[in-house]
Amino acid sequence: MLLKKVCMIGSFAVGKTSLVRKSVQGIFSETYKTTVGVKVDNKVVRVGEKEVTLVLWDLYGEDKFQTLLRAHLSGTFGYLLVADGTRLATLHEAEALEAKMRQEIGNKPFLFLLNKCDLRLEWEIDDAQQADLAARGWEILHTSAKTGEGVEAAFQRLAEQMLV
Amino acid sequence: MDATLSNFLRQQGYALCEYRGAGKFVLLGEPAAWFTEIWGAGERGRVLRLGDVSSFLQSFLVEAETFWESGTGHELSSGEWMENTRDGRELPLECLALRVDGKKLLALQSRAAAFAERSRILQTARDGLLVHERLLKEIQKKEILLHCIIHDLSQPLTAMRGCFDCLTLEDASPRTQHLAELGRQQSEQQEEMIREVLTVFSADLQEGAQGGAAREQPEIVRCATETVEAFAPVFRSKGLSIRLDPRLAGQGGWRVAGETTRLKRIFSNLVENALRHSPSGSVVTLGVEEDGPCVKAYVEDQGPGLPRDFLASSAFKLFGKGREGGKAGLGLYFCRITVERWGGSIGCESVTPKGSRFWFRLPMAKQPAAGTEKPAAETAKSNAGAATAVDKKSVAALTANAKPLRILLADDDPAIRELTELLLSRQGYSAFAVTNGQEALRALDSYQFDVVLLDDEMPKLSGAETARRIRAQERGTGRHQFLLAMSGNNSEADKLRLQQAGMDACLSKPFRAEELKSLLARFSVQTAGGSEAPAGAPVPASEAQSSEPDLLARFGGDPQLLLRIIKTFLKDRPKKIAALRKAFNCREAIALAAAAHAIKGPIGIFGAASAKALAEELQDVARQGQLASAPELLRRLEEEIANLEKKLRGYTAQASRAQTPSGKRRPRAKSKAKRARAKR
Repeated sequence: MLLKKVCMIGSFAVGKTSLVRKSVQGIFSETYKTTVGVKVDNKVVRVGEKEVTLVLWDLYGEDKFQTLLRAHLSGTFGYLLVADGTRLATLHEAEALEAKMRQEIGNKPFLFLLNKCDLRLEWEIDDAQQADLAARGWEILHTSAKTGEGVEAAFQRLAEQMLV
Repeated sequence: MDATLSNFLRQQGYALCEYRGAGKFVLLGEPAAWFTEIWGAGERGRVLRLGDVSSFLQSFLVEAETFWESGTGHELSSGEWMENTRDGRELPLECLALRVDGKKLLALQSRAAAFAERSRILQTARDGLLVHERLLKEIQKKEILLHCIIHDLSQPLTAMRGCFDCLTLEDASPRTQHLAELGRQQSEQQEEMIREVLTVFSADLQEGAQGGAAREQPEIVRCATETVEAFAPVFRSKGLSIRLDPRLAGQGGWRVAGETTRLKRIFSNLVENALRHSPSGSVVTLGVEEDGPCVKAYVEDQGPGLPRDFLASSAFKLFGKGREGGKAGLGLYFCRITVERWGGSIGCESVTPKGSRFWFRLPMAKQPAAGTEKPAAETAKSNAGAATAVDKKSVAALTANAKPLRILLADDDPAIRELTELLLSRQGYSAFAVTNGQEALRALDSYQFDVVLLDDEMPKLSGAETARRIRAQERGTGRHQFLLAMSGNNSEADKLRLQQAGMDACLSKPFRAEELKSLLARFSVQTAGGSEAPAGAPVPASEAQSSEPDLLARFGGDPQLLLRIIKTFLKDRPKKIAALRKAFNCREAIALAAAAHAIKGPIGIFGAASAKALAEELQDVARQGQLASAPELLRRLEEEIANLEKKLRGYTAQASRAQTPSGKRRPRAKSKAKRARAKR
C-alpha cells in the first residue's frame, strides 16, 4: 500500500480540521475549535488500480500566534491549501503560505480549496480573483465541510495528482 | 538508570527512550502512566517500535535520525501533536530528540494541563479575532445600508411633498386644499419617523462615524505605514512590492478628521484594489501630502491604468467596480461614503507612464488660528440650511438680474425633477431640467443660468463632482455660478462636504416648497445687490408661530372630518397612553421614546402645543436614556392629554347638539337590553 503524507495548510478557522473530520469520520460541527499542534489521520483512496493511504497532517492554522514548523512539513507529498471564501484575508494568507511551502518543500502538488461554499452568498473572493489564481496554475476546488460538497473530490484529486 | 532519576522523570510526565537504530527503542526507567495508554505496558529494557503506533513519530524519527547523526545542536523538538490512546482518547504529546553521552535519546512528554491552558488562550484569541473581523464587516455593511436607506427613503418623500405642495398651489376647493395639507403633514411625520428609526438603529454608527471621528483624529501617515506593513507579506508572496512614498521620510504628524479603524479600512480597500491590478514585479506606493487645509492620501499602482473613457466617479458607486473584474463593488463605495462623511472627497486617475492613482482628501484636524478661519463644523453649520448667507464677494460678481431667475435643475429622479420643475414654474421661475451632472455641464456650456440646483447623488456625475468642475472652470475668471445642492444626506458632515465641493447652499431633501421659494427669493435679492430677504419672503413653516388653535379651521372648516379625526383620536388614546405607561414602567427608553413620538403626532394635529412640547421633551429624554425627569414629564403629559380630551369631547357634544335643530340630543338607538325589556 502506498503511503502519502498530505498537509492541510491555511489560516486559522478556514475549516481544515472540519474538512478532515468530514472526510475521515463523516462528522461536521458548527462550533469552531482551534487546532493546537498537529493531528494525524489516515484516509484511504483508490486511484485506478492503486490503493493510496493519505496520511493527513492537520496542521494548526498559521497566524501571529503560531507559525508552521519546518519539521512538520518534511516528507510531504502534497498539500491542500485552504481558504475561507467568506474572508478575503485568508486568500492573502493562503498566497503567502503557498510561497512558504514552495520555499520549504519545493514544487509539490497542491489543491487550493475555497471552503464554506454553503455560504457562497457571503463570499468575498470573487470569480476574477479565482481566475487570477488559475492563471498562475492553481487548481481550485470549492468545498463545504458542512454539506460535504467537494470534500471527497478534493482528496481524490490530490491523490491523483500525487501519483502522476 | 538511577531509580531516583527514573522516579523524577515519571513524576514529571516523561518517558525516556534510547534509540537503537532501525526504528527500535529501549525504555529507560519507569514511564509515566499515559505512555502505557498508547504503547502498552512498558517494562524497563523492553524494545519498542514507537513509530509503528504513531504516524507522527514515524515522520519525526526521520528528522531525529538526521539530528542524531549530524552531531550539531543540543536538541530537536517535535512540537505538539495529538496522539490517540488505545481506547480512542486524544492525548497531547511533545518529544525531544537529545544526545547525551553519545546516546541517542528520545524524551516524550504529555503536559495535558499546560496544553489545555494554551488551547484555551489560543481559542480566546482567535475567537476574538473572528469577532473583530465580523464586526468590521458588519459595520461596513451597516454603513452602506444606512447610507442607502437615507437616500432611497428621502426620494419618494421628496416627491410626495412636491405633489402636496403642487396641490396646494392649484386652484382647488378648500377641502382639496385641506386634504393636501393633511397629506403634507403626514409625509412630514413619516420623514420624522424615518429619521428616528435611523437615529435609534444607527446610534453606534453615528457615534463611530461622527462623534468618534471628532474625538480621535487619527494620524494618517501612521495608518498608511501600518497598512503597508500589514500587506507586505501578501505582496511579497505575489512577487510585488508595497512601500511608503520615499518623499514621506521625516514627514508626518498630520492628523485628519476621521477614525483610525475606518481610515485603515479605506487604505486597505484601495490597496486591495491596486493589488488585483498590479503586474508581477511592480510596486504599489502609498503616499500622503499636504493639500491646502486638507491632507491628500493616495495609493498608486503600476498596472494598466484606468480604461479609456472611464468615468472616475463610477468607480466609487454602489456595486460599481474599480476597474474591470472587481468584486461586489462595496469596498470603494465604502471608501467614498466614509471619506465624504468626514468632509473629504475621493477620486482616481491614470498616471504616466502607466498605472493609476486612487486618492482621497480629508480635512486636517488641527485647529485653525484664532480669527482666521472657522472650525470646519461651524463653517458647515453656517452654510447648512436654506437661510445660508451667500458669499458677498460672489454676490457682487453677479449681474443685477432680479426675478425671474433662470434656473438649471439637475436631478436623476423623474418624479422629483418634474415636481421641482413644476414648483419652480409655479413660483414664476424659468426652469430647465436635466438628468445628471454631465448634462448640467453641457447645458452650462450653451446657456446662462442664475442658479443651478444640483441633486447630490446622480449617475454619471454627482452633484458634488459637478460643482467641483464648475468651480474649477471658474478659477481665475472672476465668475461665480450660484450652486444649490439638494441632498437627502443631511448630516453636518454632508453639508460640509457639499460646501467644500463648491456649493453655495444646501437644501435638505425632502424639502418644502416654502423652503425652496425662500432660498431662491434670497438668491433673487442677492443677485439684485441686496443682502436681506424681501419683506414678503415666506417664512419656512417650521419657524412660523402657531396661533390659538381653532379646531375647525385646522380641518379646513369641515366639521365631519374633524369629528372623524377626534373619534379616531379618542379611540386610540387609551392604547397610546397604555404604551407610554408600559414603556415607562419597564424602563424601556427606546419604547418610551417611540410611544411619546406616537402620541405627539395626533396631539399636534389638534394644535395642543403644550402637550406636544411635553411629548417631544419626553421623547428626547427617553432617546438619550435619561429617565430621571420622565415621571414628571409623563404626569404632565397625561394631564395635558386629559385636558385635550375634555376639550375634544366638549366639541363633539357641542357639534352633536348643533346638528339637531332644537339643540336637543338626538334619540339614541335602543340598547339590546332596553329592546329586550320593551319586548317583555
